[in-house]
Amino acid sequence: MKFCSTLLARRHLIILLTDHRPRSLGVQSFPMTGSFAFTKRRANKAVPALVLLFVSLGLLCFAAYPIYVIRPFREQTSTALESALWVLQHNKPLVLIAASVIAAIAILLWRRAGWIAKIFLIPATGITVLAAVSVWINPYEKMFHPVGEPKYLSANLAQIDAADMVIAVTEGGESRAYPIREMGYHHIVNDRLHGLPIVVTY
Amino acid sequence: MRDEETGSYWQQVTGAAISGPLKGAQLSLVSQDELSFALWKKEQPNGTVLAPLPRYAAKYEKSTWESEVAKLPTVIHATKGSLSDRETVIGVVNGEMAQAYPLSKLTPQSPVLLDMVGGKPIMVVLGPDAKSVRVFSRLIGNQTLEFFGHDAPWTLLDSGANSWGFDGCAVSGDRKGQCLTRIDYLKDYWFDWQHYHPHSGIFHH
Repeated sequence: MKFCSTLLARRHLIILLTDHRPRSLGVQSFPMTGSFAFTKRRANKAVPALVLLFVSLGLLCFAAYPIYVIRPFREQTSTALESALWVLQHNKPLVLIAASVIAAIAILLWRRAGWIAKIFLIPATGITVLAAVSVWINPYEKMFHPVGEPKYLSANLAQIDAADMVIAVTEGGESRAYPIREMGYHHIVNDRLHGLPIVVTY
Repeated sequence: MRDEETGSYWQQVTGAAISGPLKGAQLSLVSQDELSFALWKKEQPNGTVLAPLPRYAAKYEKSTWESEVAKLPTVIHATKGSLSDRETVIGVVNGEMAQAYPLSKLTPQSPVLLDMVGGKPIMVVLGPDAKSVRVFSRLIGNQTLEFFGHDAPWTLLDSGANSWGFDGCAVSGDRKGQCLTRIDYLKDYWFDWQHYHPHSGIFHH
């Protein structure tokens, strides 16, 4: 997050520098020397392209924020968790809109971009695409394999060690056992017991 | 946990929705038992067991998982109390009051702990398999019973010489057929229990 906040601060600095630079009055007003024209072409749109690169990195930071906060084996403060979950629930439209805007600007800049600018525009586009794709994937959810449609064995056919612990639920005379060694892997199962919809978690 | 229908996020240990359209909603805890498979099978011979998924069965926890997890560092630490972070406790709540019973206090020779939680007389009992634990209210009608137990063989008696089963029902004596009310508990590590119940007491006798 330190990298991301430094990045966002630097972007502001660059925007300030851009705003205060004197505008060129066109090629005709200046004595045309070969080296000057070469410099101008090479550097054409380099600054806006660099700005766009930082913006795309900022977008990636935004998209990655929930992944950063909700890492396993780490305490989350309630404010950080609340914001991370908010981002997780609103990231798709926000990131897609931002990515489309960045991509449109990149396309507009590309035509008049010198090769320095192109060196910035290519990763800017790549990072933007990465950010847009990343909001569709939650790596932590990918790590888990919940029980989908649960299947059952009768008590006398189940191959569970006698001393293995189970979570047992009884409803309307029907009893079901969820072995903890299995639940410890899947962590969650949506089930129905005697008509009662339950979720079993470990 | 996240629900598919609204995308709301739910806290697993409390069952409360903490983010999303259903924020503030609360799932109802279903009465449950944590016991050994052998004991459950004896009580519920017609019961069903969640089947393993063949694709993942090789990755399920080994039988030694508890001792291995006990060695892992915890993300946060208990801020008070004399128990170590990974001490397993039986956590009982009654209204605003919470009490933690260290599992180590329950032994086959001393399988019964008697206590009061928020004014409610309860007992924590270690079962005949020396693994399963149940918590019962000692109030029957308007009488509070005093219990004691011993092992070889496992026996649970009250001061009126009634003999009780691990299911909480009297099997002999004047109270034969009467059943105690089961109380839900959470089997948890002390660091986690204390985090969610910062004012929890610890059973000391």
